Amino acid sequence: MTDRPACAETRQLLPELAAGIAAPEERAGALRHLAGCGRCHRELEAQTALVDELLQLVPEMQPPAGFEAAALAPTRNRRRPHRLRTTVLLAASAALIAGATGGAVWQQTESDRQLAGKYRQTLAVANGQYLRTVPVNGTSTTPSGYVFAYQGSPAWLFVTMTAVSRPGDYRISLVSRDGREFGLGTMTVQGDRGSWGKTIPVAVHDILVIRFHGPPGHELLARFT
Amino acid sequence: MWELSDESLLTGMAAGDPETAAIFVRRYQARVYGLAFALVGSSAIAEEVAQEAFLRAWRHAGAYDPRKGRAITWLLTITRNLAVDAIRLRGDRPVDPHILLSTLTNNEQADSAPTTFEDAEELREALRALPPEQSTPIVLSVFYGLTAGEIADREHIPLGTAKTRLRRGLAKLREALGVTND
Repeated sequence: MTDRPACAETRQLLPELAAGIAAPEERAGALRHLAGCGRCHRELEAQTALVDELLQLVPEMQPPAGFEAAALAPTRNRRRPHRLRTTVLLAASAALIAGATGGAVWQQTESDRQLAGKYRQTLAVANGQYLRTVPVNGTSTTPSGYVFAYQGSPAWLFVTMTAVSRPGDYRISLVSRDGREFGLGTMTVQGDRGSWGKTIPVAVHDILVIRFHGPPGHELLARFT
Repeated sequence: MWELSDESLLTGMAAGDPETAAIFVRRYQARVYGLAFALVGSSAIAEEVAQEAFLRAWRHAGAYDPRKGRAITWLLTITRNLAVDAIRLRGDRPVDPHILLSTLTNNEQADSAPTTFEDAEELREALRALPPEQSTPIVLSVFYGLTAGEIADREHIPLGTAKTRLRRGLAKLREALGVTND
């Protein structure tokens, strides 16, 4: 197959893009082409993978004593907003339920340490691989809520809305990266809050966007970019 | 106890869980510090760079996308970028690329600290086999973040030659790993 001239031009620049050293103006032009050219995009991914492997050739070296404590100090001092921790907790609870482990009890008053332990349990349930959090955005810059997507067997979504401007029923659909749209159900928002969960028919990494079709003129989106 | 995947640890970090951060740091501190030290050549600065790399990982764990690559490559790229910034901030010339090249291709070091991907030995061998005019631009760009223009200035060669050497060097490495351009 013969490459287009734009492909040939972009391929010349791929090593610099992969190494992260391309000049901004050249990079911008190449990225425009890459957005619409699967072959060049795959070639860039392959070259980037090579660069990543080169970085891993550097031998390990143990850092000086005290490094670990110093590196971890900021994580002990800086906490995520309580609301997010609460929603993670709710989603983790849903995972425990979805996994049908039985007898798992979650207390919102448990310490963060217990939260971490429960969280690790959660991922072990139903062959869980990872849990993604994606904000739900409407017209406001503040998230209306969060979608928690659990990649396991089965994969599922759990939605918590905490700041929705318009109450009512929101029909939920999932658009996959190959363009298919799946209706998932309806959630009800009372006041500015609501929660909802369901298993999904595609893997989490195949989700492009979750749409929430609310009252006329009110559509919320969770983009899995 | 089972071993949590890197992706799980990063998800925990994104949710503000310091315990998953501790596991993540213990798992990768030698790799991160090793890369930082290899680039900046000073234990004090390498320690600062490595600590900042873990702090960035903690702050931006929610932005990590497992579809775009492994967690360790994401973390090492953060480390590389911070080390490059530290070198530029101090106005240092990059460490001699031949010293780093020797570190990368040294069999004894490879034996004492095995890398974590399948083709590491083949890649090490291929890098060793490259002519210096091709391995040098690779080291200067991939590790020290020098642009093609900066490599051309440093090596006293035309810009086009610097770009060609980088391209051909990387292509040879890929060929050695059994990958060809489609």
